[in-house]
Amino acid sequence: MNTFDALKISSKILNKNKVFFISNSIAITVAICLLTIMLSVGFGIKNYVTMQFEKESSILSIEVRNQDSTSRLNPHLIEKIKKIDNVTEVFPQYLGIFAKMEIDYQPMNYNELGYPKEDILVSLASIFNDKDLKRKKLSFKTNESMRLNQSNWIIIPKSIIPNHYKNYPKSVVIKVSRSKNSIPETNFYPLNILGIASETLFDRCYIPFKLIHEIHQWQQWKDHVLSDEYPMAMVYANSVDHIDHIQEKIQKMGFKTSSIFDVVKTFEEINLIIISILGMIGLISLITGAIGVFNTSYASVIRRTKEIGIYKAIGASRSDILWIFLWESIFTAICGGLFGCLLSYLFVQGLNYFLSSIENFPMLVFKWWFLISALLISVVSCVLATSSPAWKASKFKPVESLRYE
Amino acid sequence: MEYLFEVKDLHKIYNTKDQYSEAQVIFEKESFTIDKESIAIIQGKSGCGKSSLLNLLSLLDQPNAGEIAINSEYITKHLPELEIHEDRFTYSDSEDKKASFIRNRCFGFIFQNFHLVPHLNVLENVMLPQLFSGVKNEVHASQKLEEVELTEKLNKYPEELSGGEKQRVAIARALIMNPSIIFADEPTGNLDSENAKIIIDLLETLSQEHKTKLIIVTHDHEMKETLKTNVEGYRNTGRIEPIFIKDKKIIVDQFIDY
Repeated sequence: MNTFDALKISSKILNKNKVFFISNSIAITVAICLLTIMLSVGFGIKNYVTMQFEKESSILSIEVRNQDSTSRLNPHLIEKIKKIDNVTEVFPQYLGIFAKMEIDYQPMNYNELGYPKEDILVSLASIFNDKDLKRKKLSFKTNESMRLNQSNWIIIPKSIIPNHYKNYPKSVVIKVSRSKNSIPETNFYPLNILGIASETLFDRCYIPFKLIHEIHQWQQWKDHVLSDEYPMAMVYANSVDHIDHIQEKIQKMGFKTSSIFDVVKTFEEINLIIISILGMIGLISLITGAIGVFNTSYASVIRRTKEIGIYKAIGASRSDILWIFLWESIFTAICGGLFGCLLSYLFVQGLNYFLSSIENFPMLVFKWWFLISALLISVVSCVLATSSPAWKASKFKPVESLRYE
Repeated sequence: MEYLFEVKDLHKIYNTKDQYSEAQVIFEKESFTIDKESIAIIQGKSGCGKSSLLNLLSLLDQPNAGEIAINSEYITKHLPELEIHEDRFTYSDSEDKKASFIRNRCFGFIFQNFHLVPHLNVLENVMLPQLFSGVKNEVHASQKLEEVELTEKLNKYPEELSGGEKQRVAIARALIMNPSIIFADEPTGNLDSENAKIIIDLLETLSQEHKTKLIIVTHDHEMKETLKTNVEGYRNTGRIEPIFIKDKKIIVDQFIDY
């Protein structure tokens, strides 16, 4: 019997045995739905964490820090690093310089007059040039009157502006302190706000590199010496495949390196365990579904003993009988798998829509290869579940099957 | 081989599932032949082993001992690919696939309970042996249904047919592969006398038209009167032996004293 005829007979049988078909399909639908949801959650977690890591820095970035007094980052070494193969960009960098900030604002109504101007502790970071700014992936509206090449601007995160500020402020004053022999000194830097970012990593405020370099020199009591040394730099590779190689070369130059890619790699190992555990939960439901399919298939074989006897009497071979049952199972698996995928897709989309008010990022991820995998897994599990009853059916002796009541 | 079937020292026992009951011996060292030409009727009381004999002859079952040989020409005509070089063919338990081929291409079956597949319509039921042989011909199936006068019920399902109609579908299915032999196990057992006569007439006419050997199991003693053709009959009375031959020209005399 050719495949098409076996498929046709199987579909006819399923059409007449709707209860059998529906119950088996539901078992597979539920199992596949749960499996794909579990995988969506697993991949959602992975994507979410990776996105958090990549929010302000690229996965292609390598952080380079001074290790000892012999190797200090300076323009010459920066140029040397730039010449390493597969390095696209290098920016000197300052991070984590703490200062107090006084937000200047123009009150809109009398209610705001009651509030005193307050100092907020902020962490300052540098922006070297417009390319560096682009790499930081900051989302903010630029104040048109401001230009990056000016030296008195700041980008602040929205989150540090106190709630009672009705209007966005236009300028701030940065207060930086240093002390020597217990005598404190404070410098004031009035800055215009270039933009208010919707979000920054660790609520950092960004100021021009030249300015932060100056502040750093002043804090270190080196304001009288003109220094070209930087505490760190960000290096960008052209692909993740070259990150290890670039890190190795920079380390040989005497610097410490770290990259988001390393963190992501470590996290991916943890995430693989999370996905495996979630996948296992899904697989357990699939095994339960397959046991259900096995039971109904076994019952179906017993119920259809006489029918098998008829097929055998008129010349069906063992493989014909086997394929009739297997095609029924494959057909059920495909229907169950497709419905399961569709349901899980709708669930994932629905949940993401519901959660979009909390996090502006899809928390669950439905990948299209889930569909192919789910279909394959459901077909394999259904075929495995049906193979034993089908094998039993194929071995029935025609005369005994025809006599079966 | 001179005969259609040659049975030697046939031994058949049914083992009961109940451990306290004894195994039922159906045949013990039975030897007989079945002729090529005439219609064969296997007749006897209920439970005497008529259907068991039919099942053994039609390769639906295997004997415990002894040999059932079929005249090879009845097989090679339909299945030259089996390459049977001897004039007699016997098969063993291990040749399940070969038996399936022979049942599909060389034999046709008609059962008392019709044994139609309930999920398939009339046309599909008739075409079923074709599907298992891998050669489909819907026109041929329609012709067979025309021969049994069921053209209008092609798309009906077995549950929508009367007993007589079901048996006619079974006859069309038995004839679809143009078999050498048709085995009919109590073909009129579930029919009223009027329908029974129609079915026997149809069966006889069609088997003559298609030059098909007919082997009928029946408990109906009057069937031999209904048939117009030469009849060769067997019954089990401890030993299988011919009980009547209705052939006015040759054989009647032989058995007139029986």
